[in-house]
Amino acid sequence: MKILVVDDETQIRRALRVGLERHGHVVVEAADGEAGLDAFAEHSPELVVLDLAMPRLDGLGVCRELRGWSAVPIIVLSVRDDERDKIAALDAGADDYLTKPFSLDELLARMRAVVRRVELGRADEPAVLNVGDLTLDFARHRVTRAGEELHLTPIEFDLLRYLALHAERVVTHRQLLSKVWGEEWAEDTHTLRVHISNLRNKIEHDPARPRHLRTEPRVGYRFVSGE
Amino acid sequence: MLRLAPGEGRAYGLAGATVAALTLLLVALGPRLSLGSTFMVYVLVVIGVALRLGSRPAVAAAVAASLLIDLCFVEPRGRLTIADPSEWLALLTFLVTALVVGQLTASLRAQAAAAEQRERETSALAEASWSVASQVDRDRALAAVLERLAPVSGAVAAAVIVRERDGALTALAAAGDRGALPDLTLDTVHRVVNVVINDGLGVAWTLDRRHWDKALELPSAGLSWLPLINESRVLGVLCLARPGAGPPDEPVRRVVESLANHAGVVLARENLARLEAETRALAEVDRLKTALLSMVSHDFRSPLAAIKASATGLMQDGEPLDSPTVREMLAGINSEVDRLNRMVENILALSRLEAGAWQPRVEPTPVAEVVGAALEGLSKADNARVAVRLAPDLDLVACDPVQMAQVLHNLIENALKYTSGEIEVAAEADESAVRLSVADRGPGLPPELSGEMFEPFVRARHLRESAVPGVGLGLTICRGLVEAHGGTLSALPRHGGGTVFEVRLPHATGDRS
Repeated sequence: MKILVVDDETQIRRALRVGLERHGHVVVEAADGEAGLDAFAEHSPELVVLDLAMPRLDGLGVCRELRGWSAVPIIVLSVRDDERDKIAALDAGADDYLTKPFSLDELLARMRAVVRRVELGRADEPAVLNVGDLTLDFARHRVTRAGEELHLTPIEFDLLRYLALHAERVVTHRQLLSKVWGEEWAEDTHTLRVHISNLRNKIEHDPARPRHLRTEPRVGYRFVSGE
Repeated sequence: MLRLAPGEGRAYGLAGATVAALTLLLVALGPRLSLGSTFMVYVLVVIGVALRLGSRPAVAAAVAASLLIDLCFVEPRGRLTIADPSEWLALLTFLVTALVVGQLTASLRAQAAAAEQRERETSALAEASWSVASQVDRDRALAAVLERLAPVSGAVAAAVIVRERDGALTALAAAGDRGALPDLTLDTVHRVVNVVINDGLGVAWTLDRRHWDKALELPSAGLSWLPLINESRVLGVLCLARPGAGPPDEPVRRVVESLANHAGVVLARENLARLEAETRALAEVDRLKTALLSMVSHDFRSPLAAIKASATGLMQDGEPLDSPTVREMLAGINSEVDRLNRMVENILALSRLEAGAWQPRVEPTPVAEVVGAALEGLSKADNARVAVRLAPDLDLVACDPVQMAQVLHNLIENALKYTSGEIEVAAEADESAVRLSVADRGPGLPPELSGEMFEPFVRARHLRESAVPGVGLGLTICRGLVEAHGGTLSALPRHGGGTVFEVRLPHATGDRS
């Protein structure tokens, strides 16, 4: 896979190049946002790893620019403090994020997830989805756990369906709220929290230690299909 | 040229009407009164006019009375000429007497009014001084000064306006009819306030128009603007709404300016208090910085030394290392980096807390979510040591879900780090609060630590040489976060041995839907 790495720190770019090339990927580097856009136009990479804090056009700007004309998977890198930028980048179309410092294993896992998601998106929505011991039957609006039917409210079902279709990927509060409830509810995180909690009580064996429905603090949720 | 003050025309009219009415009455009575008695009755009326209406109407009344007496009671009637020269003298005497008595009466009246005004001024100033001295709260002290202002200045409304750092105008206090006060977002108001603040002179206040012409296009008539000055710094602007009134006379100006000085003192006092608070905060930051520096020199060096040793070891020429050794050294580097990262995060969290920049975003949150988020990020082995017990009937708890998860996470990590057995995380509620607790079966707290356990860097002092990694900021951060929620964090001995760290969060008041 051809990957564009946009980061102003030479050491990070070098480490990512070495690590990713060992896994058989081709790496193109760019040291700032403008150069990143140029490199994207020139090399048409299949995935972009994008730092948020950069000189000359930051990561958020690059993300918006790219989303104007490309559906390429984007993973943004950020330090812990800039939650707002992180959420803004996700809402602007980034597919996932990683908090610095991160390990190469985490990056590879995120990459696999977003690429799988893009492939899934090309195919038609599956009629039935199996995750762990859960079976989601979209056509019949039914969810079973180990063969036993779970009684979900329509909202809970829609929540689960959206999260499961975006499995392994972070989904922001805003995205979930506007997709499941509608645009005018996009700020109502409290409602979301309550419904997620109810959903956890139904689908998780141990709601205090959710296996599937993970919280991404301040950002949103991530549906993890298995361990 | 004589210019009429507002209301003066009415006074003349009233004076003339009174004299005319008396004349009609006397004419109707016929020639029953002697000319001498007629004069006396007119003098009485002139005195009355002087008492009620002041000196100039009294003059007018005296002159009008002379003319009317001449016309109506002196032969030949209906004409201004006088037949008998002695009556000339009588009429002239009447005029002089009426004028002198009228002026004396009017001046008595003016003195009484001035004394009354002085009395009002003095008491307004005394009350304002008392309010300023006794009222600690800035806005209430200003409001008290403004309340005194209205009766002595003829203002229907008054406000104290300050310019914020970003240039926006704020009314700190207002009194009277708020509708008469200007809209602070208007450009013209900004211009006037800026002129007053920059020049330190009033606008539409004294008769000297040169200054206020700079602040052209006053937003509405009847507004006066005065600088509030303390130690030659303009701290704010006093705006008075006196619709219909012209520039004030000297006594009113004096008392209003004195009251403005009182308001200036209030503002200066507030500035001093803020400065003092800032200085105190700086001193605290300085103390933390010193502690931080000493910690960096101790606690940061050990992971750095380990990383440096492993990395240079890997770079060495010579006998190639076998692959398990290489892996082991790399794993060492990795875990030391994680440790450094945790320290940096803790220090950042602490500095944000100390700076008060970390306000909790409180929302009704399911307790299970807080506990779940706290457990996330623990390793599998650690997770296996944690037993969770949540009361089934738990309501939503009002907290910042991220911060509270961090508190619980720090407490759990702490318990896992200092003890070896299983720990218990529990949540339950009583009438007043939700209790989140983390209990271990460790050796319990050393008594010498109990008082200062939540102080920053305590571990760095007491356990510096111990083998347990960590910086000793975790509990300080926990306490800071819990207190920012209005809750408490305490460490208690556990029944049967060990320690319980307990977070108490008060129930949200009001709407808990």
